[in-house]
Amino acid sequence: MFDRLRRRSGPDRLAAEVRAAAVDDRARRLRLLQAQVAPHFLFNTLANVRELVDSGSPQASTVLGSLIAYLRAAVPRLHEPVSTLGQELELVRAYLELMRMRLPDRLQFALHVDETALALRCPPMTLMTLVENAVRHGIDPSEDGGRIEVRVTEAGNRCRVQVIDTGVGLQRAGDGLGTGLSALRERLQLVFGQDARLHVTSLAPRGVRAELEFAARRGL
Amino acid sequence: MTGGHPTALIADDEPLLRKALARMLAQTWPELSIVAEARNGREAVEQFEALQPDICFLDVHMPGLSGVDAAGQIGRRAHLVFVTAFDQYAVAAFEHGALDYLLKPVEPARLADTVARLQERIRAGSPAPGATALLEELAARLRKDTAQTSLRWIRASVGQKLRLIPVDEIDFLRADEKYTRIAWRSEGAPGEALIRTPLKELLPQLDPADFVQVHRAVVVNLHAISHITRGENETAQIHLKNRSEVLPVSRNYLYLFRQM
Repeated sequence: MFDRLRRRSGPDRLAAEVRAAAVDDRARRLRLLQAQVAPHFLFNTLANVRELVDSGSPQASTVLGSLIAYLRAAVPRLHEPVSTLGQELELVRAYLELMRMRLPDRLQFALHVDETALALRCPPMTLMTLVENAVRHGIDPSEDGGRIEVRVTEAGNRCRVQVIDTGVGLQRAGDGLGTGLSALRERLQLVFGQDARLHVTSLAPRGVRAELEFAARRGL
Repeated sequence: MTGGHPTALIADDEPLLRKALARMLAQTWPELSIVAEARNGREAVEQFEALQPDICFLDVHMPGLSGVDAAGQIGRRAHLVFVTAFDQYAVAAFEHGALDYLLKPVEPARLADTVARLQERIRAGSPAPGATALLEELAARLRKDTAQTSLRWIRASVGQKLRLIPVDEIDFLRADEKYTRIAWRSEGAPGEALIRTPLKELLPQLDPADFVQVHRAVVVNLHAISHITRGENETAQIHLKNRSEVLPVSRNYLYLFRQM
């Protein structure tokens, strides 16, 4: 296997292949990471659902519906190479509904999406990573909370996704990007090559805008 | 205790969970009066100072000041019960420090145990157990979890001097008995240093986009690799740019270098 690899590839190609294999490894690690993070989300959410049930709230069934939608969409995700923006949005909406139930005084959100963009190809957990980041690093650490806005537009042959929050902003100068975002960058590169761009910017007076742009492609 | 009935404060940033705990406590311990609810650690400390309740139920994960930070400020002036959804490290620390805690969703039977212990302590007039050092360590740990960044410099003694080695100039790290050998390029020329931090402690602090483990004792910077050759018994060797030392790849890590 290595002989073939050496014959066919220069050092750059080799570096790229090694890098891609490392990305595989990171995707595996990311799944582990998420497996560690998910229980916190899950048990807190279940504790809320239980209170709704115990107190006989009419909201209980709707919230349970969001949880089921979230779990159905989230569980097998990273194993599939590609999904659609429409699927991503369903997951994001269910997640945001659950978070709003948990943090009613600290989270508002709005989704603005071009209908035509729903069928576009999108690596799984792309939009979800951006939104989850906005909640975990923007809203959740803030005593006052904030608002999350998701905008998806299609223009020319490009799709542009923006996730804007008014949370605590990029803290601790220097890094700004969490492991979730750098892993997302790698996944985007695997699917789109150089054809995807991800920018994360600080907003004044507070908050963050994550902007993702990639080639608009349809069909799986 | 004010006027005979014990008093309590509930701190959680999720309103439904404050309500849930208050409702369960009303069933398990009707004499307990919930005198304050707080939405974060700062409010918890403020409310505690204003009302001096006997018991504080503190969610571990809250915005601003965490429940553990708040506990540090309240100290032994109240009986503390921590509440968390899932946090193995915190739970281990609570158990180690004999601190009371509840897991969310709170189970009625578990809450009944906690209530029985609190009632006994209050009846006997026992002081709240102290665990300052443990709480400080835990608070620091929680802060670190939220600010996880990759290591940028390694401090190493080279001869009489202390050197700051930029992590992106490191070619590889190799475990060497009790030490870790760092091989880096110092202004282009290869340099080496030994540090006492074990490789397995360093690894999680390195950026996984650049550094990969290829052997139990070896972590390599992908940028430093020239090429790879196959060895016997499903092993391989990594040849580096500008270095003669060859690094082993063990079987478990071969998948990193398989063809696409």
